[in-house]
Amino acid sequence: MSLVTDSDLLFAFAFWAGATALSIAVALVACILVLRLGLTLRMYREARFVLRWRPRLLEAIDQVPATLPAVKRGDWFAFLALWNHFQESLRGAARHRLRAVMLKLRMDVAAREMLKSRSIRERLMSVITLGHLGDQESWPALERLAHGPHTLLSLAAARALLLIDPVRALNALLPELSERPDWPVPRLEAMLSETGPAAVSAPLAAAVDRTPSAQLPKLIALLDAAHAKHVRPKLRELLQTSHDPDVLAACLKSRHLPLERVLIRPCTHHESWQVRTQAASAMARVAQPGDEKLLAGMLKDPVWWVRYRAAQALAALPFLTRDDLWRLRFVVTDRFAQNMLDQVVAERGTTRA
Amino acid sequence: MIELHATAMALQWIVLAYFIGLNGGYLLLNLMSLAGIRRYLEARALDALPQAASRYEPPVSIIVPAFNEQSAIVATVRSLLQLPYPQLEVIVVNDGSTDETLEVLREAFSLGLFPEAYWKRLPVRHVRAIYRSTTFPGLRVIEKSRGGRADSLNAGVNAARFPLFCATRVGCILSRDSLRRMVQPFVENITTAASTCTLRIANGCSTSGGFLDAAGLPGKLLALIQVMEYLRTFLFARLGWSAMNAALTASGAFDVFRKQAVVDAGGFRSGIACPYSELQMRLHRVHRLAGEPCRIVVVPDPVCWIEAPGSLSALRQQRIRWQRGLAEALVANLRLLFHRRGGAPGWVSFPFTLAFELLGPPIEVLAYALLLAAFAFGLISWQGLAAIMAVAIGFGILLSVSALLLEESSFRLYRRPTQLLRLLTAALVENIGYHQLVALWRTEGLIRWLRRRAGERRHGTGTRENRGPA
Repeated sequence: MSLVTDSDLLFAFAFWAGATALSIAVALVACILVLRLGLTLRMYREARFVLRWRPRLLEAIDQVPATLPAVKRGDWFAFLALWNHFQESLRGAARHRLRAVMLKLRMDVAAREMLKSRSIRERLMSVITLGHLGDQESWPALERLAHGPHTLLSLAAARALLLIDPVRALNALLPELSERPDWPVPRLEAMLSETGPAAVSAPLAAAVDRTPSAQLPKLIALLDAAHAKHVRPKLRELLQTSHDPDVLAACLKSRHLPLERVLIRPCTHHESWQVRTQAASAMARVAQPGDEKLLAGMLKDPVWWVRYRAAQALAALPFLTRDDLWRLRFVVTDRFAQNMLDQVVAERGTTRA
Repeated sequence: MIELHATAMALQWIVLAYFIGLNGGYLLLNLMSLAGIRRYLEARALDALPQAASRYEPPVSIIVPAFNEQSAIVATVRSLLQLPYPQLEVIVVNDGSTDETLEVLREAFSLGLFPEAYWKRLPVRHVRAIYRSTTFPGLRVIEKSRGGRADSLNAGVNAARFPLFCATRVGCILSRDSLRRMVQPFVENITTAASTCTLRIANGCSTSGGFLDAAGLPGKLLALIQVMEYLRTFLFARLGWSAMNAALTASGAFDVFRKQAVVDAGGFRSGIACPYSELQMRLHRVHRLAGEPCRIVVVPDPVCWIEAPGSLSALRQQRIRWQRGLAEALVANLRLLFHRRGGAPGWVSFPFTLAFELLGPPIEVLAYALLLAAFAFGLISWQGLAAIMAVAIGFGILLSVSALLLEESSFRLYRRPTQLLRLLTAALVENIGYHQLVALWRTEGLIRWLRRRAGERRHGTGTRENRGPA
């Protein structure tokens, strides 16, 4: 009797489980069809919208049209995407006229509205729009987003703040520029370069003094976006005083490295191979006749990268001829040094036939 | 007799619970990948803007192992050299080819001997010579003794100049923005150690110069079913794991790694079928156990397309090799399992992969066999058999359809109504016969691996890598 009960229970369970799975599958197929239909309609609508609005915005580049039709709520995103595309492709007065179009259509209000949306997609588009508009009114909301945990939103908001008011933005964001591990240096460099050295140089250089050593390498990398005259004194000071290998390597790698042999030469003997590698590269920029001996000595370094950069530096020295290099190849007795010179000479296409 | 009936009943319950557990797990992964993919696509809202592309993409070394690839190597290298990317180098590793691979490369790219100071960071077989193209300075060819794919990759890593390297293989069809997409996780997060792509099936697609022009579906049913299978198992399941930073398996076709992380972990392991996945698991293990952050990302975009086996025998060989590779990779990294610092990979994805991916196929085959035997001996009724089969197949179809829904709500590669219809058909057919056949082959793969392992233990020898179909 119990077997029958068990069996019935099993069949019933299996039947209902299978039926449920299949029913959900059928429902999902219906969802796919609805999605497909929705997608087709949306694509058609977007294509029509772009077809209508692209010529209008192109016309606005030369002159703001006297009348423009209102943009419906459903088309806000498409409009902002199109407008931002123009905004980022153009320069000068054309951008101002596009901003005038935006204000005329009251799309600045729409962008602010979209900033409250739950959709990340809409908020991202809104943030970037408000940045291009230089919308001071949105500053508090954008600042909140910039300090928020969402990486992309925070980065977009930081960019927007920099576009609206670079000095104020840097004051608000400076600690986070070097602290936040989720803000990649390349992105920040791009944003700071877009802002321009005039606005970012002084605040960035001033930040060097109050940034902890652990975060300095990131800040030093960002200093490439600043004017050399602001940065060089700071780098000089760090090279003279810092004992942190990461900081020293970052200074030596900097675009604004002070080209002073007295600062760089000591680093060629540093215990950290990263510092020696960067020092070898830097020597190529400052070396004078006689320094080739120092670089030739670095060819015996146990670390491949140091040997490679030293060989590259030697090959790049303007006062060393191809024949000099060739002679050096036979003077150095170390096999690793010879191999490295052979490689670098071959890379530069200066091998003898 | 009553005991036999009781055993049969217990068996049915176990089989039922297993199928529900297996498919429920995958459904959960699909749900997680849905959330992940939504976030990913939303984050791409600004991608179309002109200034979205970073001007500072890190340089990448692309490593292409090649063994007897004279017919396809030139086209592959050409397409890689044409990838729109700011700074890259291509390193072809000719792994002791016995055909004209080196000669065709030499002729096509004007190779000349290059006196490289080869840095043997990872142990590799004898490197005979290194060539460099005089027309494309970014192309080098390493000529070495045969050592297998892993050995070739290690040789390439040793020669790589850049901090990231992309391990690919001959014959992949790429999308033009493939490398950019794969590198993005490294730009966004400095703890990223690897990014792996989600493979798509190239059969039926239109291509030119090694790049994809338009996605299409294959005409043959076997390849069509594999399109559906790839969506279900390889794309969305792996995305689900990626959402919790617990993806264990790599694509093996187009994966990007941080070079230093790979060198520190000891490089690719020779003598195994899937060195990419083993390395990925090892990266998880080494970093997790050391308490260091390590992010491994599955890039959902369709960036790499490969030719699916067109015949049952080729498919069988592939699945046998995959299963062996999975077993080898899991066993090599068994310390990760339930390790107190194992995190999501050690506590969730590793046990799941072990229970359902490695041991699932033999359990499934055994369950089908026992059910059929019990039915043949009258121990269970046809209704019982039908009910359990309905659950297995019904859940399978549900999984396939949910994967299709995810595809439809994300990348929508197959836009024609007929394509959708064909995929729905494949979702149905895949679960009736194909899935069971694959489970059988995977069981065969596991048995072969066990025999091989037993043989190695007896003789105390290592194994050499076999090269099966892609």
